Parts: sequence; structure tokens; C-alpha cells
Amino acid sequence: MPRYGMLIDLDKCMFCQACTMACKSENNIPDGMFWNKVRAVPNGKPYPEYRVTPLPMPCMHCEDAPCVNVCPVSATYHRPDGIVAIDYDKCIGCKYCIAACPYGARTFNKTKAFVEVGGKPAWYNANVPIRPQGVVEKCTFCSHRIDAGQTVTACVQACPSGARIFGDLDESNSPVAKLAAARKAQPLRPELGAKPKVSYAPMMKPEGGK
Amino acid sequence: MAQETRKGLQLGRRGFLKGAAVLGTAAAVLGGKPIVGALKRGTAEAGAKVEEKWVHTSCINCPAVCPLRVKVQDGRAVHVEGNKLSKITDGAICAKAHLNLQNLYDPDRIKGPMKRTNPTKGLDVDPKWVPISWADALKTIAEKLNTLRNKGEAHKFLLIRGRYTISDSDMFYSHFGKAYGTPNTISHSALCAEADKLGQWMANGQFKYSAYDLERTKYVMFFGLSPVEAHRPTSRLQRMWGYTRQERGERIKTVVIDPRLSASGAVADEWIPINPGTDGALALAIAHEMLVNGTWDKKFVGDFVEAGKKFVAGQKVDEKDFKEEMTFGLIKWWNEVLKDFTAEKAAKETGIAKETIVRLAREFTANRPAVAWRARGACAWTTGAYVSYAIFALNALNGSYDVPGGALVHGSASLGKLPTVAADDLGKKASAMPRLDQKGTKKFPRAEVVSNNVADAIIKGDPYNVEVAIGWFCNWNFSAPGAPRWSEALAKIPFFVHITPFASEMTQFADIILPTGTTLEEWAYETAPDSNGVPEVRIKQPVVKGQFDCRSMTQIAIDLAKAMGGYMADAFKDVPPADEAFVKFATKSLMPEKELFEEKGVWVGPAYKYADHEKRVVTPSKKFEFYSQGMKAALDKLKLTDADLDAIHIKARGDMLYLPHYEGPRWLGDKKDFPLVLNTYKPTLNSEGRSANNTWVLESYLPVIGEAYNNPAEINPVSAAKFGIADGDKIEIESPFGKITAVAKLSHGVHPESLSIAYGLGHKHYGRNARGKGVNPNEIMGVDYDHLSGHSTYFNTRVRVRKV
Amino acid sequence: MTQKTTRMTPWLFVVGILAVAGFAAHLAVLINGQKLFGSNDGVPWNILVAAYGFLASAAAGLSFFASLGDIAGIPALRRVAGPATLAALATLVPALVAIGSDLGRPLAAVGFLISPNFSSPMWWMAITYGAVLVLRAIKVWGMAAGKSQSMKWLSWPGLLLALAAPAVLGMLFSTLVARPMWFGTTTSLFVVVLALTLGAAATLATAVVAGARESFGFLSKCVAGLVVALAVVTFLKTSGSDPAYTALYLKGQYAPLFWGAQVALGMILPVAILLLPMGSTANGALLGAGSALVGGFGAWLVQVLAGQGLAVMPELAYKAYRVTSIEMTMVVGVFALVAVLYTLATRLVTAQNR
Repeated sequence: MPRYGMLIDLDKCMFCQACTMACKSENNIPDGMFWNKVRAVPNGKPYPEYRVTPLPMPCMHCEDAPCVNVCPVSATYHRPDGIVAIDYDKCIGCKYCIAACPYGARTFNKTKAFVEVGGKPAWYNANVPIRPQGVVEKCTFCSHRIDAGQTVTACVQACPSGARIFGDLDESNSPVAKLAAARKAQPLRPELGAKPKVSYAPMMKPEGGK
Repeated sequence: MAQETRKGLQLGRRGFLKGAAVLGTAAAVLGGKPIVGALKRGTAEAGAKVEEKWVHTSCINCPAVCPLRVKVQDGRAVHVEGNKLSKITDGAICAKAHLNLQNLYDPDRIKGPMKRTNPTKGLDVDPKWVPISWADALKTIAEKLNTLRNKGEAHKFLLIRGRYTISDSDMFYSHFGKAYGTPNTISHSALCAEADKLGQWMANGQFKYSAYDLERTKYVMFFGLSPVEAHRPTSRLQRMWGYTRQERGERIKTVVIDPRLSASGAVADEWIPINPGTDGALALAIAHEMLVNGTWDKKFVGDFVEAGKKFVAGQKVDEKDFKEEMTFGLIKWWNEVLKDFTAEKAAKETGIAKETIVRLAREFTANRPAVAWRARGACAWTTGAYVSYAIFALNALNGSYDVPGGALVHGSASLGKLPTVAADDLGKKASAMPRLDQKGTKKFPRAEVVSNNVADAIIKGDPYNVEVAIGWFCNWNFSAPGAPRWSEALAKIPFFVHITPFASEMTQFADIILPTGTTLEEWAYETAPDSNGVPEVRIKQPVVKGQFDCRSMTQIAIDLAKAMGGYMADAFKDVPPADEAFVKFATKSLMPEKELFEEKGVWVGPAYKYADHEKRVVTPSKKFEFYSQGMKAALDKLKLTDADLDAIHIKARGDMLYLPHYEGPRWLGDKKDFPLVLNTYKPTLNSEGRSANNTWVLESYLPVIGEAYNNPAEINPVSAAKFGIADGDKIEIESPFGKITAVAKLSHGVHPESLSIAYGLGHKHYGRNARGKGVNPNEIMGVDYDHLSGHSTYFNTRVRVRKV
Repeated sequence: MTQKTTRMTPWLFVVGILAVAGFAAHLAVLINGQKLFGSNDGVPWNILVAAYGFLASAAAGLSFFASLGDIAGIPALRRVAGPATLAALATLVPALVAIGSDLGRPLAAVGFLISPNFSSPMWWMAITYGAVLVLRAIKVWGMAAGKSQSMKWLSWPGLLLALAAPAVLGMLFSTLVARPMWFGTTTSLFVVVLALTLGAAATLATAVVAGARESFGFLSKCVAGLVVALAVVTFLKTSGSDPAYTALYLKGQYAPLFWGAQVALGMILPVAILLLPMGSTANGALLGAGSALVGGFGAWLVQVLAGQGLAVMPELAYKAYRVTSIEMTMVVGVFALVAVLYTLATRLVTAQNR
């Protein structure tokens, strides 16, 4: 059984938001909601030392997911392949999982998602369900693609610089496992104990020029 | 008491029951259905079985026109991916490519031709559009065009192109425009990057953008651009960013030179803040350093005849003492310009430390092949062509010209051409008339087009009035500096046709709207812009059925010519009768039709042949010229006097006019009265000012500064404190030309002398989401030019601020 | 709650209108969705959740004192056991209305029974509070049916549940690593002590409303004593937390609420009033109890809102929460419902017992 994870190479990410855009169209995400978001991390220094680094954040699909632990009606759960999924029919919209997620991965569907006739946008992807109002949703590692045999998420495919890699963390030959080891990739806030399965390879300092 | 209580209870219990009944009824009456619906809250709709297919096309959201593959489910376009067969994009697409889905299904699209019924024209005046048929619309336009032409006034027809597919341009701009005979076919190019092109032309005779062999480059200095945000072709640059940093083994070093911390500056190895408008000084100092340190590329440039001879700061060199190899004019350049342009001098000008300038020069030469890359931020200034020339020349000095890893000259593809039509008398007469934009005159000596100048010509009616105009995919009273002048100009044109999928600011002045489809619905061919040297042809074909009653530019040109009859219809008699036929005709020679449209979606040219100087360096000396004989010839022809040069704000005289040199920025507005410099930039989701109606864009617009739905005025905190402005304050920004109100955002990523505003918002029209969001800095921008190329300046307007 | 003349219960009319307004606001949200709330993905829990926390913990505290009244054999407490039970129910039902109106899909709550998650503190909260509700309902029915005496066997379970419920409610917050202001055992202790304090204050207020003069003195001392304990726990909780997070309510956005309501109204004023002789008068008792209750609501607002004010990853850069008038109307309506239900319950019981 694969254990899916992702690697994001911060040395390649460039704030472009192609991941966010691709995710929006692939997953029928309503306006104002994000399953993936590129955040900015300022270094707190004044001009001209000021810098900002990009931090793309999907769901971390934690192994010890706080969201799975707290959901009162078991609407959010682990799939056998490690993906944290949501059964929208069970979700009561209590938003406990949103409060519990350290990574801000989850979003609440506040209102009727699409105003178009039939409740769907024209560009909707029929392979991904349209969620009802009042539930919580989040990145699914494009499990619908995986279940159809295509083991690449929309964001990974869309990233122009190739900063995102997806695959089986347990398969030592997989690009994601190999690169994570080679670049000493780290997840965000490991000390929180959620055991996230998205890790980040650091932005590199230039090799002191000749 | 008991009595009261019982009564109270009765009131209480009965009242309760009554009240509940009242409420229940009210609820049922007012909102029974929605309540039940809300409570039921539907289950998630599971994925249904659908028919899926992939269709090849290409993008139009910037001039990169990257090849796309679009997933179609049951006749709906649902996802966009790239095409891995392209050697330029390597299958990558940028964030903007996905916006094609929102554009295709945008509720504010124009659904059919429209006619104005309100004779009054104004930016805020309702045109009171009524729908008309294509037949009626074309008939009306044909009549206007015929009447004008037959009067012998074909030159009073103005044809403006904004964004265009190559096929549309070949058909409408070139074939139709030439046949009609008007000299006034005006491209947007001088709003884009003409100074960039002219700088290169002065060096190698190629009036084009530059291409770069990034796959093999080891070091890049980016002057005035944000390569991973907004430089064509974005997808390639973004793909190469990943490749050169982590995939190929040897990591590239990138240096971004910019007054503002762009996304590129944020992720590059180095961000060098520079005083606005001083990039030329930095380039010249680097050249000086290369020469005095002896680190220029001897193989390409040549060397002193006598060993041991050097370039010494301040000391002239005798031309006899130096033998140039593939270049021409180095010693003149040294003697007239470079010998005194020390790092110290440049440090004073640029605000960059002398040590940094020396280090950059050293790294540039120590990490070959290294490239100096320039664009609008450096060149859209007065005398910007010389800045372009200076920066481009660094590549030659460094041996990075037309070699692996260097600056290249992009190849062209050969496509089927439309037959040239012999001009008739009316056409000959008209095309001999002076052009509205004054290109090639003493005012704009070496310009191919001076887009923004046309507004002033129309306003003044000089040298004649415009009677009929057609503009397509353009919105110049939004996107041009001094945008309000275009509203004034357009109001004067008696008959204006706007060809566009969305009703924008410019459409407010149209008499007829002809709607085009979006890129996912139309036939076209494209040639890739200058990127990696290898020519590429992309195609466009309907990915889904045309959503509305729209026609492509090509189809409009064909139909309009037919409607005009006579000479124009004749000029089109050998033209394929429809856009699909035309596109297929033009691309016939590349490969079989099925292969191109169904299987591959892209034609890739032969591999790049380096150092093909015969073909690539087309100067009088056949060498890379540091002294532009081409410019000398052009200026000599015009016999420019000192007064003429003063009039176009060029301080150089004599040989200096043909050498890369630095004159410093000319400001619009006094430094004392207007202490800040207005800086604008293009964030990655800005699609040439055309994406503001996309909700996906608005909600993620400025990730680097963490802003959405708005474009604040970014000010350095130290400067803001001087003006008493705090983060989030509403401020008035005033230039000598106008005022706008914006929200202030304090940022340490902004040069203390700059006030930065992202471009792309501030629409008053264009759609329900675009309207009223953010501000448009072009409204208060002054009108100025790099007069040699006609390029509009975008960065030399000064402003002042105050809290409101 | 009628449109007829209510010379006898004008205040019932007023709170009735407020309750109706709250109901209408709830309907609006049900139909239009929670875009009418000021909450967002960074601050998912709004003042309704704070109101729920306040009412639920007060209800548990009332339950505690009601049960204690049956068990402890203190006359002052025994006198108010009945009213406290009614008040507990009248507080708990609106609490459930408050939290129910925050659910995106309330009907799916059947999932608590058919697909429970035993690791979820919220599930246990539903169980414990459900038990409290059932228990109090049985008690009230017993009171109405004149069978109070035979209900005495419920008192010990009632007492234990009344402590367990707020403890679990506290665990709801204390188990979240994502919210450093909540994470840790002091939060659970804080909620329990706060529940008891609110319970004592509410019982005292109920005693005033029920005219149980003989209970004022004892209850006032209970309130004062618990407020002191609450102050100690609050201090421990604050000093044991990361200053970056406590700054939000010590100096920052929520400081007025913390110092003004939670501390001044919730702790200083009650102790001051209730230890003075005026604490034994009806007005003094009501003032002291009322102040503690208002301060307690402030404490819940600080707890819920400030706790979400800064994420454990500041990079998430969420916008602040701004309360909307719809939310305020709903909260006012829910509080009004407490008064309505208490009045109706009292009349029901008194009537039945004639």
C-alpha cells in the first residue's frame, strides 16, 4: 500500500500561483476558498535587506492528523494510502477541524458555492464532486486522479518550475523519497507532532561566487 | 395572586402555543422551501461518467502564446495543461493559462454585435447598446470605410491592434490594412518594448527582442524585469528557473536589479535595489570594470596588439593599438564614454555600493557564459534605447553573444503567406500621407511606431482628423500612460469600431462592438516570441463550440472586405474564405494537418546553430557594433540639428549619439514638489490588464505583499513616516497630471524614493468583478518617450502624497 | 411571547421579541449561509461559540449547585435546588440552539450516533452535555409532576456530570496544538472553575429572582470564593502561556474585553460587592452575580476569539474577525431565550404543583 506524500522545493518556487490556479479548476473550488495557497514569509529585516520567501501550502495529510482526531462524526478520515479525506455527507460543518489544523489547510463552504444554473460552473470537472453548502473541504492530494490511475496531483503537474513532487514516500526509488533525502527536506512545524507528509526542501544560498 | 398567576400561565402557555403557531406559519410562508432546502443541504454530487477528450490550442494571455492542451468533458472546457513537445516551454504553462477557463465562461462576455444608440460618448456615459446582426454591423462599417476611401481619404482610417494572434494580424493588420492603403496601422508595440529592440538593433541590426540560451547560462543579471513574473515567455522562464537552479547540476546564479523587490527579486540569489532610471550607469560601469581589469572576452572582442597594454581609467586609447575581432567601435566607446565611467561614478548615480558594482563585474566575467538581460524597467525611460544598447553590449564584451549560454537571435518560421496585392491609386495616395504617430520624423527618428502619440495627434487634429477607426483587443484609455487623453481622443472620432470579447474602457467610445471569441473558441496560428532561438509555430482551434455569436479577427477581416466589395473584395479574392481555411493554408507546409492539429499542436524548428554571424549580425560592418553605424545613418538622413536634439531631450552630440551612453532620467515633475517616483509593475496574474474580471485573479492578486482584490500604493516605511502616512491609510497620490486615491501599504521592499503600484486593476468597466477594484496608475502618468524608438516612458513621473 | 397586552409580564414581552429577532436571524443564516458571519478560515468560531461556551458552562455550574443542593444538606442550597434545575435547563437548551446555529449542516448531526469518533473531544462533549440535558429534563419533569423527592437518586450522577461536562468542554480547546493559547491542561481546569463560578453566580441570580432570601449569604460567599479561585487559575493559565499569544488579550485587540469584562466585571466587582454587607441584599446580590455573569461572558469571548487571534503559523496571515449584526442579534436572541424558557419552566412547574 503506498504512502503518498509531497515535496515542495523552495529553491524552485517563485510565487507564480500556477498551483493555486490549477487546483481551482481541477477541484471545482468556489470563489474565496483555497485548497492550496502560496503564502509569503517576510524576513523582518528593513530595506534593503528585506526579503520575502514563498511558502506554498496544500493540506499536509498528516499521519497523526489533528483534524481526523477531533471530528465528532468521523467525517474526515485516513484512507489506506495515507490521504486524509472527507466524507462530505457526514460533515456537520462544526468547523472543529479548521480550529484544529495547524496548517490552515481546511476551508468552510459558507454559502451556496456556485450561482450558475444547476449549481455548477461551466468549467466544472465532473471527476470531482461539487460540495454542498455548510461543509468543510480541503486538498485531497487529487485522490480522484489517483483512483483513476494517474498518480500526479493537479498542482504538481501545473508547477512550471517543477517545484512540487508527489509520490509514494515508502518507495525508496520514488522521486519524492529520493529528493526529500538528498535535500534534507523538512515538514513545517514538526514539533507540533502532527507528522505532516508534505516536506520542504530549503531555498539555497548562492554558492559564494567566484 | 393565584388568579393572576393562572391567567398569566394561560397567557403564557396559550401565548406560547399561539406564538409558536404564528412563527411556524411565518417561517413556512416566508422561507419554507429554502429552509427545508437549507436543512437538507444536499449531498455531495458524486463524479459522473463523462466523455473526455484533449484538444490542442494555445494561449493569448500574454505574447508568449504557449501551446496548451485543454481537457474537454461533454463539450465543456475544464482543465488546461501544457504541451511537452514544445522545446520552448517544455510542457510548462504559467498561472495565467488557467484563466482561459474563466474567460471562456465569463458572464460579462459580449454575446453578439452591438450598436450604440446614445450619441453622447464618455467614459462614464451609458452608450445604450442594442444588439444588431453581423450583416447589419458589417454593412454599416463597410459603408463608412468605402465612403472614406472613395473620397480619397483612406489615410483617415486608423487601425489599432492591441493583443493579437499572428494570423489575425497577418490578415487584418497587414493584408487588410495594406490593401485599404492607410498609413495609420498602429501597433501597441511602443507601449511594450520598442527601446529594448532598438538597443539590440544598434548593436546587431536586428530590430527584435533578444533570445537567451538559459539552459546553458551560468549567471544572469536582470535589469528592470521580473523574469518569473512578467516577461515573455513566462512559462519558459519559470520552467528554466527550476531547471537551472536544481535540475541540471550546476546551479545558475541570478541577480535581479530593480528599485522594488519583485517576486523574482525575492527568490533570486541577489536583489540589488537601484535608484530609479539609473540602470544604464550600472551597465557602463560594469563595462568599464571589464575593460580595466582585462576580463573582457578576447576571443569575441579582440585585444591590444601589443601584449601588456591595458585600459586605464581616464586614459584614451589609440584605435591603432587594438585589434577587434567580431566587434566594431570598442575603442570609440572607451574613449568617448567608458574611460571615465568608473564604479565610483556609477555608485553615486545608482545608489549601489562601489564594492558591489566591482563584484558584479567580476562575477559576470568569472561565471561564463553569463548574460545581461534588460527589459522595460530599465528601458522605458527617456534615452532608454541607449540603456538597452549598453546592457545588451555587455553580452558581447563578455563573449556571450550567439554562443551556448548566451544571448541569441531567435529564428523565424516560414508560413504560407497571403498574396501581395497591387495597390490602387487611392491606396497609393493614402499610404503616402504622413502617419499620425510621426514615426521616422525628427521627433521620433528611428521609431517603427509611436503608439501613444496618436492620441495627441487626434486631439490636435494634426496633421488631419481621424474619421473612422477600428481597434482590436486594445484598451488604451486604460493601459497607456496619460490614459485619460485617449478618452478625449476617442470621443473625437466620428465612427469607432471596437473588436473585443469584453466591454472595456475603450468600448465606451465605440459606435459598433464586434465581439471576438476567446482563445478557446477560435482558429489561429502563432509564432513563438523570441525565447531560445528555435522557431516554433503554435495553433489555435475551437476547443469547445463558440459560446456566443462571435467571430475571430481573421473572419471579420474576410467578411468586412467582402461586404465592402470593389477593390477590397478583390484584394481578398485569393484569400481563403474563412479563418479555419486560412489557418490551415498558412500552416500547410509545416506538417500534415491531422498531425499538427490533432496529434502535436506545435511545430518545432531545427536546432539552433550558434555563431551564425553572417545571418545574425546585419550591421554595415557585419560586426557587433559598439558604435552604431546604423543609427548614424538613420540620424544623418534626418539631418538633426542641436535644436532638434534638444527638442527630443537628447543631450548627446556627435559620436556619442551612436554609442551606448548614459544621460540619466528626465523627470516629469519637480523633485522638490513631487518627492516620490511613480513605479508600476506587473504581477504574475496580471494578464495585460485583461484579467481583472477573473475571480481567481482578484483573490490571489499580489501574493508577495499578501494583498488581494486591491492594489495598494507601496511605500517605503522611512519615506512614509516623512509624509505622516501609516499602513492602511487612505492617501491621495498627485502627479503633475492628475490625482488618484489609494490605500497605502508600507513595505521594506520598495526603494525609498519610489511609490509602487501594481498594474492591472482600477478598471471602471470590463465586468462586474473588475469594476471598482483598485486603482489605475496610468491615469496620472505623464506622457514622455524614448524619442529614438518612440517607446512610451512608464517610470519617470514624479508624485507627491498626502493622507486623506 | 405574545402580541397581546402583557401588563403582567412586560419584560417577557421584551425578551420574547428579542428571542424572535434571534430566531429570524438564524433563519437568515440557514437560508443564506454563514457568509453572514464575520468568521473566516482563520477564526472559524465566532461569538455564537463563545455564547455556547458561556451558556453551557453556566448550565453545568447550575446543574452542579442544583445537585449539590439535593446532596449537601445545606438549607441555603436546598432552597434553590429547584430553581437552579430549572435555570440549568433554561440555560442549556439555548446553549444548544447557539451551537446548533453555528453548524453548517445541522441535520447531519445524526452522525454523532451513527458514526461516532471516540477520540473526538466534541463527541464526548455531546455525550456529557446530552446526559446533563436528559438528567435536568427528567428533574424538571419530576418537579412538574410533583415527584421531586423520588428524583433524588439522580443527584450524584448529576453532580459528577456537572463537573465532567465542563471538563470535556475544556478539553475541546486544550487538545489543539494549532491554538497555543488553548493548548494545555490549564485550559480544562480554567473551564471547570469558570463553570462553577458562573454556576454559583447564576444560582445566586436565580435565588434573587425566586425570592430565596435565605440563600443569598451562602451563595454570595460561594461566588466570591470561586471568583478568587478563578482569578488564580486565570493567572496561572496566562503566565504559563506564550507571551506572543497572551499579548493579544493583555495588551492587544482583546485587552479592553479582558481587563474590562473578564477581570473588572468578572472578578473584582463581584468580590467587592458580595463581601460587603450589601451583598446580602437582593439588589446587591443581583448586581454582584450579574457582574460575574457578564464578566464570565467576556471571559468566554476572550477565550474563544483571542484564542484564534494568532495562528501557530503566523505565515497564514489571516484577517481578523469582525462581528456582524446578524451574529449579535443571534446571541442576544439566545440569551433572551434563557429568560423566556426560565419563566415558562417556572410557571409550568408552579402551575402543575397547585
